[in-house]
Amino acid sequence: MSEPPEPSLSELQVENARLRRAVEELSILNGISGAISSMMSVNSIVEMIVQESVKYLNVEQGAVMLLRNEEDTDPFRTVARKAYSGSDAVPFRFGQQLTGWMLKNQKPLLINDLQTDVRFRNVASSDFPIQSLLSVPLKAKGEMVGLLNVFNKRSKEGFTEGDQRLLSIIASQSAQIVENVRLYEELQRRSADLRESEAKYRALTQDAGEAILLADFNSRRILEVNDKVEPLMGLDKGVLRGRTLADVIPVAEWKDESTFEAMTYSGHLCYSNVKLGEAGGQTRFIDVSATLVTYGEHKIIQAICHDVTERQKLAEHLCDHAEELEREVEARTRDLRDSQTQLVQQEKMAALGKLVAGIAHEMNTPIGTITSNADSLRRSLEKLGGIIGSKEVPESVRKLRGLKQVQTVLEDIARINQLASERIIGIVSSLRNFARLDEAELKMADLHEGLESTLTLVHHELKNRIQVVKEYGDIPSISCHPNQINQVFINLLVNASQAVRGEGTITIKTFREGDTVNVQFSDTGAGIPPENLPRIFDPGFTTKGVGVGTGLGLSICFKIAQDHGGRIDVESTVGEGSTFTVRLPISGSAEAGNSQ
Amino acid sequence: MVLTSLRSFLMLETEYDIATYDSPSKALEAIRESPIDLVVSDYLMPGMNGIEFFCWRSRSSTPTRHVFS
Repeated sequence: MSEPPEPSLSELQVENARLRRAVEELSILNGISGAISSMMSVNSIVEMIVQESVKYLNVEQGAVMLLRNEEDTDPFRTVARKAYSGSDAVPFRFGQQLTGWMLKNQKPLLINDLQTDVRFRNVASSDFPIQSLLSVPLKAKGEMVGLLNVFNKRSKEGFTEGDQRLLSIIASQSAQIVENVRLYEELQRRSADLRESEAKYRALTQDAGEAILLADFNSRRILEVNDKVEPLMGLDKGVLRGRTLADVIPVAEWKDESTFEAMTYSGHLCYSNVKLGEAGGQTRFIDVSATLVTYGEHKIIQAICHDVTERQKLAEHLCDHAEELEREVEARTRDLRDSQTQLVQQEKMAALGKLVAGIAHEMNTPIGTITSNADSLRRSLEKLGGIIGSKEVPESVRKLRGLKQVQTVLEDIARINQLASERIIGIVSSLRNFARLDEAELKMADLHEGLESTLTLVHHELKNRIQVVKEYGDIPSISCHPNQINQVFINLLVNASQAVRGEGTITIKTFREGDTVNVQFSDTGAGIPPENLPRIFDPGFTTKGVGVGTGLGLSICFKIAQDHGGRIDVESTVGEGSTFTVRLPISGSAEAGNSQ
Repeated sequence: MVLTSLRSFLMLETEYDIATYDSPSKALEAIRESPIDLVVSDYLMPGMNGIEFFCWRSRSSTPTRHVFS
């Protein structure tokens, strides 16, 4: 029997070195496990892994890189980087080709001379030239989550398979940790995003300037309200949640369910001037804008309420104001129309006056001739009578049958002619008196004169039917516009004659009363019913029916009296008659009246 | 019309000789031929007014009374 040969010294040395390396490996791994189990911070663990790797594998730099989620130019992010000296090392880009290869192949990459490796060109980095590299993927649950890289072996031999094996073991140990780091950072980021989102939501809804209510579309029940809702509606949040939208915002159309259904098509509904109940005592009005908002599986009605109470108040004010204005405009228009009619009436009177004056003037000449001739005629006849009756004419001629007749006829006619022409003169004179165009100035006028002129003019209205009784008192002449006063007299006389149906009496009484001169017209006519009495001086008021007169006569008289500083009073009894009294100041006040 | 009326009146009441003219120029001619004692004339007349008539008349013949109407 032979014993196995004893190993040689060199074999022993190799074996020794291998054992030593194995021990070192184990101790590294032990250290890592220890660190993990001692629950150091994740960052520290990762840094420690890198440090140990760099030290044991004797390289210039090492790094752990994590796979990023987002698309970026560099799919990996370096989370720890250590140099042999222990410092953090100079950052540099790993290079697209290398990362691309690792992503694609997902297995260890060992390169001892990068320059000559045909797979990778243009990987030069000015900051840190990579000569040799060893990169192993970090895998958690079968998925690659990052890389554990070491660069530039500091010994001549370069990276060995043993190096690769060790790094792989470290990598497998570290992968889960690294994944946790990644997840943790992911969580942080998501949390930050969420917080931001939350803040954004809060800012956009809670702090919004308007009251916003969110309701579930299907149930119409309120889910959320922002801070502005409570003061607007007067109900606190707790009460509001769970109530239906239509309960809280009384839009008439919302009583009908189909209105909400329609939102699925239109998406948006607007309502103006919705009246909120008297929450807190004050009625408020809002404009409501309801929108159907969909996100994910959720359908929400977002109702934004805009307080328009002020606007509504303003609108009502405007309405009232407009009404008031309209009423005023109406009143003014009425006044204007009355003034206009009055003016027209006055113009007519003035024009008529001018016409009349013209006519009267023209009539003067022929009338003068007729009158003069009438007188001459009478005188001639007298003479003729004398001649016929004289001694020289024989009795036989005097006895001629037709002669006496003719004489009598001629005498009668001559007499009547004279009377007629005198009457014509009287009328023409009254006309001229009536239409006196010197009205621009005030004149001293004898009212009795005016009355007489007027009576002459209205004589035909009165004749045979109405008896005129004159009770003229002792009155002074007054300063006035005579034709205007005459207008008043005519008006009152005509009215009186119209009031008297059939036969009756008009009494004209003039008298002085203190500092006024009064002219009173009393008739035995139908009288004025008490309900009409206050209105008789109103412009346009007439009981004569449409088309007969303008109803302005008395109003103009009233105004004339007023302009003279005087007034007209009336007393009346139905069935007995009426009395109109014109009171005019004796002096001075006509000016004052006119200046009004 | 007025001329006739006046003449009638004057003839009736007075013994005067009366001649009437409807224009001042005709009257002036007549006056020149035979003098008169009294003239009654209007103021506004065709051809010349009363004053002018008066002046013209004064230049000729004997001065007479003139009544304007």
